[in-house]
Amino acid sequence: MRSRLAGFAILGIAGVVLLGWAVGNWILAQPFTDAERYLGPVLLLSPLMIACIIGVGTSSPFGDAEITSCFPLPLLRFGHLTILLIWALLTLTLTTITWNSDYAGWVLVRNVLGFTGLTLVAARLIGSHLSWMVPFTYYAAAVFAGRSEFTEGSGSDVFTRILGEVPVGEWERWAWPMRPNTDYLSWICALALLILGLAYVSFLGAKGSRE
Amino acid sequence: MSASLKLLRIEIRRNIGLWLFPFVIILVLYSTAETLPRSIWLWPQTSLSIRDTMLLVGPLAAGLGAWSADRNRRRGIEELLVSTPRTATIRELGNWGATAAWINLGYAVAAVAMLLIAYLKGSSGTLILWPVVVGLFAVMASSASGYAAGCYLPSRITAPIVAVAFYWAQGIAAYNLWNNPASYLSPVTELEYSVFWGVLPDIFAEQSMWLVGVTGVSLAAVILRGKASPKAAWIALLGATIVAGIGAATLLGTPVQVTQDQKQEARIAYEPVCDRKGTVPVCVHPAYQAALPKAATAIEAIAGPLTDLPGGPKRAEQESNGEVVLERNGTLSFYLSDSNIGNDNFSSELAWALVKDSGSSRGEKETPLLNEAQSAIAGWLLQRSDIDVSSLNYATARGADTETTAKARERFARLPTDERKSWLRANYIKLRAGSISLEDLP
Repeated sequence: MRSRLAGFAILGIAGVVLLGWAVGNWILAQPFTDAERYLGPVLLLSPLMIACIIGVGTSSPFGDAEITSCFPLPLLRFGHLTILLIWALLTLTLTTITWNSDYAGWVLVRNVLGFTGLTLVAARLIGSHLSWMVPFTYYAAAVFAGRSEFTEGSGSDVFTRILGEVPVGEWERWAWPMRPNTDYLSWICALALLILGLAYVSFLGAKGSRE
Repeated sequence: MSASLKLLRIEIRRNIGLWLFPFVIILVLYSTAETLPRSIWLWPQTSLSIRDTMLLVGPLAAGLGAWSADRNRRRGIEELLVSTPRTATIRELGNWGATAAWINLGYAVAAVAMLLIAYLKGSSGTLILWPVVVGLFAVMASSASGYAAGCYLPSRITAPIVAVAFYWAQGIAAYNLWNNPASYLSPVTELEYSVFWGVLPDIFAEQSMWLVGVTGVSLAAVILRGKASPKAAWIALLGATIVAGIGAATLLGTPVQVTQDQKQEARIAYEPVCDRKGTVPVCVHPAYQAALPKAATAIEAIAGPLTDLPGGPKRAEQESNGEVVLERNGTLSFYLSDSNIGNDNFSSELAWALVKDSGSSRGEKETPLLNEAQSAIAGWLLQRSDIDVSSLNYATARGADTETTAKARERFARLPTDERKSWLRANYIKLRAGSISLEDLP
């Protein structure tokens, strides 16, 4: 566990959660009528950072030597990732309870699960050191281009053609982290990514970093 | 020198940027295309949309810079490299240069491709390239700052933290510092654009200085981290700090509001294209030629019954300032954008301008509302064009579709054409001036 930076990850996750909580409290204390709406950056960046922290700890410095261990490695990897995920969800739930917002709590949970899954898939495919790149780029691209903005010609991209159009001004379906907590498709995306990532990394491990 | 170039060549060949090069192209192309309207392609908007992808590419470059800086430690070859004859400065600059070069190349290729697409889609007007060039400087500044962060804080978590921090800082500065010149420090700051006057304020020189200065400061800091801190690095640090400082100070002194005078001064000459098929000739900027048939149809439907009246519209001309006004000389100035072409809102703004003389209130923030008689006639203009009268609701204090105005509108619509025309001929100017009440309507 120490070789996988588990201690650092637990502290890092706690730090991100506390920072997100402090920023969220500040936003909710602003004199807006719908302050909850402005929580967006917290609901996205906190889960993203948590996923990055979990992702960079998936590789072990022991390499092939670890394979000779008598302890079943998939169990070790699964246990490590599950403990970190449970820790993240627990700390997030405990801190966001004070916000009195069902919406924020559920979105945070969904995004932690989805971003972590995406990071784990990336850790297996391109290595743990660069695993942050995939969820970060996906997140930034979704924020940048994920809103259905125009009356004419909107919905002409390939994702929208597959997933269906949304009303103007709403987030496209492929931008699932920005969708409301009641959107079942976003939950399916997040959970599918998590199951895929967890299974992938637990059974096969993260890929060694490459230059 | 040749040995240094060989080292750079190796770095370029072995750099992670090589693998990311096609990925950056796809990212920039997709993101730009997604944020651009589909029906009208404008050069200034295309340039700004390409530059705005810095919101993605900038933090990515910073994160990759941080990751590249940590390479030697990660590989456990730091001490081995100390024994080589080349200085650490050459190695570090080569590593950073290769990372920045690949991302910049990806961005540049995507930008050229996007501009080519815009050209083929019929973009017209004046090509404004400086926002795209600012993007190139932003990639250099981001990757250099990330590289410096990776040198000073070597850890596997540094890269994602740097990427998220850059994303956050750029976004907060650009989109949350409203009416604050500090937003100009962000390379993705919001700027005003139009085919009539380009992109304003023109902060190319200032932003370039700021970003080049940040690049210089970061690289000087990287060099100074080596055990032998050459005097030249201190001089470079000082010089870069001055350049960055001048750039930042000038940006912070730039007024946030673009005035009408500035727009007038920057106005780009053009030959309008016109549609003369209807009773009202409709002229637009050549960049909006694709929207002309729809705009002309909507204008003809609303303004058609009023053309031969004293004080009525004689021609319609697209304006850049967002106002829809019927001038005293009979020119109906209208505003056209990709999102309003021929829709209900476009028509209701025309109807409003046709029944309300706002000559005395031009330029005022609050546009005066319609009285009940004006509202009834504007509603009739919309109704006869099969447009929902409720789209005019924002124009009146009590809404356009109150029971009394609806009754007056229906009564007016049922009048014989000749009677309606002669009433309008006698009363149109008074109606626009606001001296006709609901009871005066036939």
